Amino acid sequence: MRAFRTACAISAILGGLFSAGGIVYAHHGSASYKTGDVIVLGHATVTQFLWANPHSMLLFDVKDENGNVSHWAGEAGSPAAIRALGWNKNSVRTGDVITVQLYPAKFENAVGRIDAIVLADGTTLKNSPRTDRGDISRY
Amino acid sequence: MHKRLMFGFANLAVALLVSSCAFAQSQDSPKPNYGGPEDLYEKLGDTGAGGAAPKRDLTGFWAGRVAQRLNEIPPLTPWGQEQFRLHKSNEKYPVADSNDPIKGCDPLGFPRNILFMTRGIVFTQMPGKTIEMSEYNRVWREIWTDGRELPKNVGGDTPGAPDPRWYGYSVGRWVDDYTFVVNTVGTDERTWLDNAGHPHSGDLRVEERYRRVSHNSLEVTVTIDDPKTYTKPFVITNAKFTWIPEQDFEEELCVPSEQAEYLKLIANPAGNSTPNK
Repeated sequence: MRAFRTACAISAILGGLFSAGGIVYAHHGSASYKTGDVIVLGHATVTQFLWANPHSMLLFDVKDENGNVSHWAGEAGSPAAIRALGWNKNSVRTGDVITVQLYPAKFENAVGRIDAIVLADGTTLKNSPRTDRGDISRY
Repeated sequence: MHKRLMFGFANLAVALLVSSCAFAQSQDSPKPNYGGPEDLYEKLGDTGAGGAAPKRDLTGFWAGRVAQRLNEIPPLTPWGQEQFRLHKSNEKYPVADSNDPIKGCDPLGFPRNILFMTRGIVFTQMPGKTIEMSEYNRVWREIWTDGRELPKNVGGDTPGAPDPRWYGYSVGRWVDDYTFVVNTVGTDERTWLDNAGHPHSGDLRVEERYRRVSHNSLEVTVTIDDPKTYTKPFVITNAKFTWIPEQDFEEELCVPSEQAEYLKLIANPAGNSTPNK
């Protein structure tokens, strides 16, 4: 199990590097987050979804194996940004159980920049990443 | 070719491992799908020329990158360096510690608004002026085409001297049937040039050179000339825009109340070294 967790951690890091194309771009920048380090939070119970400008926000609870609940908050792009990726304001509702992939805060608070969510029906909704992939140092 | 193949296998292996981990934590979780367009500009893809460019006409709705690719910034003057030192950008600081003006939903200002948040722009032409609108915050600029000169004493001490503006003062002219050149002065020093926090002075002069390459394609070259801040003029970007077929304009705003909620729920905790509970 320990080895599996290690593999998951490595894969999460590599997954971020390979699949997300590097640092995730946000309207307000990504300096708060571990931009190469995607974590996967399964069985996340949505407590609120805020379809808001300039950032949509997803609040959700995750229970660990001892039954302790962590209250998470993840930021997503603006409605205009993520609508093009298939989201709408009713994509997730309070009580939905989903999987959240996110870049956690460097200070290890329970907040992060969402990379993608996977709905109960299997639909994956990607968050808006940086679009300027050619020049990471600039943005 | 061999390297590409190896990279492809590595990518596939990692994707499978990531998905298996997610699956282990949530039996309902399928393999993540990272494909698909990232914004309207990419979603539109190559729409083709769409026919010849109409003469002296930029009218319409255009999609661009969220953030334009910027060229190398030349060395700053001592004054420019001092201003730059004071700017704590979101690129280097957590939002909680940044002093980027847009953190509080202040206007992006010009020329930052043609370098960033450029998902959508609109031109409409009328006698004596062209209006350029930005999807973001639904901002418009007046570009006078009636032959008037730019104001020379913006921010001056004389009575009636025009004030510096968030979006400056602009005049435009067609230099040929497909190239529209806009010159702007009188911008507000409180605005930043870019997301990195590069400054500009009230002496800033900007030239935008819009070239309609075809019906569906618009290119713009933006030149910065600010001798108080930079040691030489420079082209900051060469950007491209694509005609939006349905000509619809998203509503994208920085809403102060929603931004305050974002700072409270996300940005401030993310920048706080004391873990929350």
